[in-house]
Amino acid sequence: MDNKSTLSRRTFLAGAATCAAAAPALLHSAVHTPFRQTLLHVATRASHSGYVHTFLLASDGCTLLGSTRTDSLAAFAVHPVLPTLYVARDCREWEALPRGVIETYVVARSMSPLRLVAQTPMALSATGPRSIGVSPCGRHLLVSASTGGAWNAFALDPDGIPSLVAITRKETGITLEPGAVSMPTPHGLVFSPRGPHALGTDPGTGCMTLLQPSSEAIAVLARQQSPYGLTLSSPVWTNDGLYVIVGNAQNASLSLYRMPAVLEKGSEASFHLASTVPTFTSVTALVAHASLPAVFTSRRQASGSRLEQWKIDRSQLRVITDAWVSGNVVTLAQDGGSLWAVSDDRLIRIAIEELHNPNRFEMPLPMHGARAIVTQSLPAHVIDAHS
Amino acid sequence: MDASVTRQDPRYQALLRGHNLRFPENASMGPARIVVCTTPADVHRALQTAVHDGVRPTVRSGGHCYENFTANNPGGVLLDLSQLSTVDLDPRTGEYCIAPGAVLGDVYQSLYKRYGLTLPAGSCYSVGAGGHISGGGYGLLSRLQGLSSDWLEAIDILTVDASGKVIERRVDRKNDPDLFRACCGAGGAGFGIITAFRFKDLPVAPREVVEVGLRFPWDTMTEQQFIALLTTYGDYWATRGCDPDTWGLFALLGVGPKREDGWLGLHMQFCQPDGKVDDVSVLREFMAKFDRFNSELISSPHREFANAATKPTARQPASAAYKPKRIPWLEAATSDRSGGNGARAKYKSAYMKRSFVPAEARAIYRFYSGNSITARSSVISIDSYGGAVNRPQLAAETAIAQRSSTMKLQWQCYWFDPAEDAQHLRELDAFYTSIYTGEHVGPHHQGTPWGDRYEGCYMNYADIDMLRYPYWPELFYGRDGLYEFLQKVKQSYDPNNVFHHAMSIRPA
Ligand SMILES: Cc1cc2nc3c(=O)[nH]c(=O)nc-3n(C[C@H](O)[C@H](O)[C@H](O)COP(=O)(O)OP(=O)(O)OC[C@H]3O[C@@H](n4cnc5c(N)ncnc54)[C@H](O)[C@@H]3O)c2cc1C
Repeated sequence: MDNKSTLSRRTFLAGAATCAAAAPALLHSAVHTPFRQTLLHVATRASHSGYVHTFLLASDGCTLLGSTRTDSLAAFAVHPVLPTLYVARDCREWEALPRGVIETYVVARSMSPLRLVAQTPMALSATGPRSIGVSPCGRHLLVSASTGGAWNAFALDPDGIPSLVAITRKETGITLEPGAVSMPTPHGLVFSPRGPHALGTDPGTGCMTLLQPSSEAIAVLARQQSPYGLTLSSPVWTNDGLYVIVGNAQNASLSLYRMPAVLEKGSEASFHLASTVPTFTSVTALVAHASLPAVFTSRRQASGSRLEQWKIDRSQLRVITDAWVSGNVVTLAQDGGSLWAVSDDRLIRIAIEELHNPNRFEMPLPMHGARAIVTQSLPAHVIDAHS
Repeated sequence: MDASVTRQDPRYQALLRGHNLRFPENASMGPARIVVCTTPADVHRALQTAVHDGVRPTVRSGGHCYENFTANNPGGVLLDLSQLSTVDLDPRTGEYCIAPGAVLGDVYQSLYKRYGLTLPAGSCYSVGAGGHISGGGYGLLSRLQGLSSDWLEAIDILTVDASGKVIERRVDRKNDPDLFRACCGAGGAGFGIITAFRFKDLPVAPREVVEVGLRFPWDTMTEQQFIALLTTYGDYWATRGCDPDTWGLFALLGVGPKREDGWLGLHMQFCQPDGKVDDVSVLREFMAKFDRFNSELISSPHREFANAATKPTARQPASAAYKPKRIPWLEAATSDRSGGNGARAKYKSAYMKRSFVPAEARAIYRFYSGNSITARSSVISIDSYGGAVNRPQLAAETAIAQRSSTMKLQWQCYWFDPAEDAQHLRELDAFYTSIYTGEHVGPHHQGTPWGDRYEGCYMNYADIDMLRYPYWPELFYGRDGLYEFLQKVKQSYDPNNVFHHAMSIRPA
């Protein structure tokens, strides 16, 4: 660890305690039930080194459990039921071969909250992972390999460990626009809350692809060309499974896509553009509402960021609440009644009910370079079992 | 008409096996499908389907790859080109066409019987033209005639463009010259699938050759004697062996485990530069260098090497006792010299520009004097090299950078039990590394044959251990910008990196 990037646990804990004292009401709202505990993982990266900082959200405060060094972190995701965190590392080579690597960590409530249990190489030439997703059934893990122009899938065993064999799907020449030649750069992806299929976005070709991973192959169920290009931010799938929202690259806007209601094996799948709405400035982060067919977005505005909650109303996106926060919000997460935002130097929690309320929980992040956050809600005994 | 063989097909396991049974490493690493192609059109179709389906195509011709470049392809498709095996004269162009699935023994038979010609290619009957010629294959006539790829006039190749379309190309010095150059030595390294090798001129095959073997008592040989033997051998190739009148001489010194009653074997094949064998003075002169090592003559080297207990044939200095016995070149070229059939194997290589230094010879002596399971299962073949291969202009015209070496070394280790894999891989690697560790190797290249004395490694003897050195492309492609050139060719002709394996040219 170099001194500059060293994260002082004491500074962090002090910060957390101060904030806890200042906003006890907010902290209370983070706790769902007496039997569940919620963790928040914040990934930071400076050059090739980085950390995942794991916080425990409790009724009496927000505690930093510990920080785990994870070099070259590109993306992370949590398992839907197991105390497991997956990290995709954007190394140029893994064990001297050109490919990324997926690291699997068991999460525990201890001072070393992440314990590395597996390192699973991506397929040969699957370089540049950018997004990682786990199917709601917890049996498949999908990763984009942006510079490798491919998607990779891994079967997850009952302990959540990825199989050693990565199935790869190379996106050579997939553009749907006649005559256009563009290099594929698979980037964002999101699983449907309803099944083991995911929507992948490729800003290089402007293609959106409905993918279905299995232990033998990654099937393409349907493809759509975005008329407005695609941003680098991952799309989101609404909690009812009916819509996907993507950020458009060519103009500052969001598009809403209607997804197939049921996907049966062998059945024809298609999805289509339902509507597009301008956002004035480009959306930099999106997250789905956990319990409603709604979505939260963040975009730059003045010297800060505008957070907006969108509702879907007759196949149209409509802002229902918004708020302005100082600083550049780079990523969002949602859990229970709270929206979590990370800016360059702060972790912010906002009660969804009071999005515009300026009285927010804010905590300084002593280390710059926040990339991603994710919340993980697990039964207490599950997290404690590994402590 | 091609045949598509899936995992459920009873042929799958048999078709999956290549020469090295170490691959695929486990059942789940195998491809989802093997497509057996019989025509270039089949290859085109199978490749287009693979690209369309987004699955990785790997290509196999003779199946003699040293590393897991073809069989390890989970979910992918393996294109088996072994049935594209014709050797013909194209009446339209007057070019001799060798299809990639033709095996070297058949190539020799066809070219010789029909045209009296040959190709200076490898010594193993069953090696496929596909990997061999595209990787710069060499053999017993290479000191006299250069590498097989040095004779290429054109190749037919399928590439995949940026939009995913398969393109058929005939590439030569005028059409796609950069791709042509890349395929003259780096053809298996990820540009496309070669469906024919075309030659305008080919060397006339020697009518006859002489073959002879010497053997040295190995069990009683001291370290000093061994060092002297190796340096004598290396000195010859670095000095006298550079003279054109010696280019028809090929030799292989095999160093293996020291056993009781064991022997070291030196095998030679000779013809004069004009392809005749009236005068064997060059051979005799070479043999005389070894009289002081108690060498004994053996007349049928292949058989004798296999059975080291056979009685010597002469008690006087071998070079004097030797009575040359001529054999038809075709007989020599097509005798079965393949090793490692039905075994698991690991190979390594080194090009040497100069003779051995004592430290190298000592490391070899000590390893083979030990009793490790890897020492007992392995051998180093030290081949003569250079001659016509080292014509300087070839470095710029082809994709083989090594044009100054006078010996080429190959480590071969064979075993049958998968449980021994890790140990052999580890021990052979450590042994090899130890040879290139010390003052004779530059401080930044310790562990590798690189520097003033060496020219790196041979891509047709692929060795993924070398990937751990960040400068591995230099080891295989030299320092004069060849690798960067190949990266540009890769970018132009395989922009999506459709063709890749562990040691393929990496996108820049
Ligand atoms: C027993 C034995 C003896 C040998 N003796 C010699 C020798 O005397 N001299 C020498 O120089 N080498 C020798 N070799 C090494 C040999 O030249 C290489 O292993 C060669 O690459 C094998 O070619 P193949 O077609 O048989 O193998 P394959 O396994 O079919 O292919 C090897 C590589 O070439 C690629 N490739 C194959 N066909 C094509 C194609 N049509 N287009 C593009 N790429 C293709 C494959 O994808 C793979 O990466 C020997 C190997 C063995 C196992």
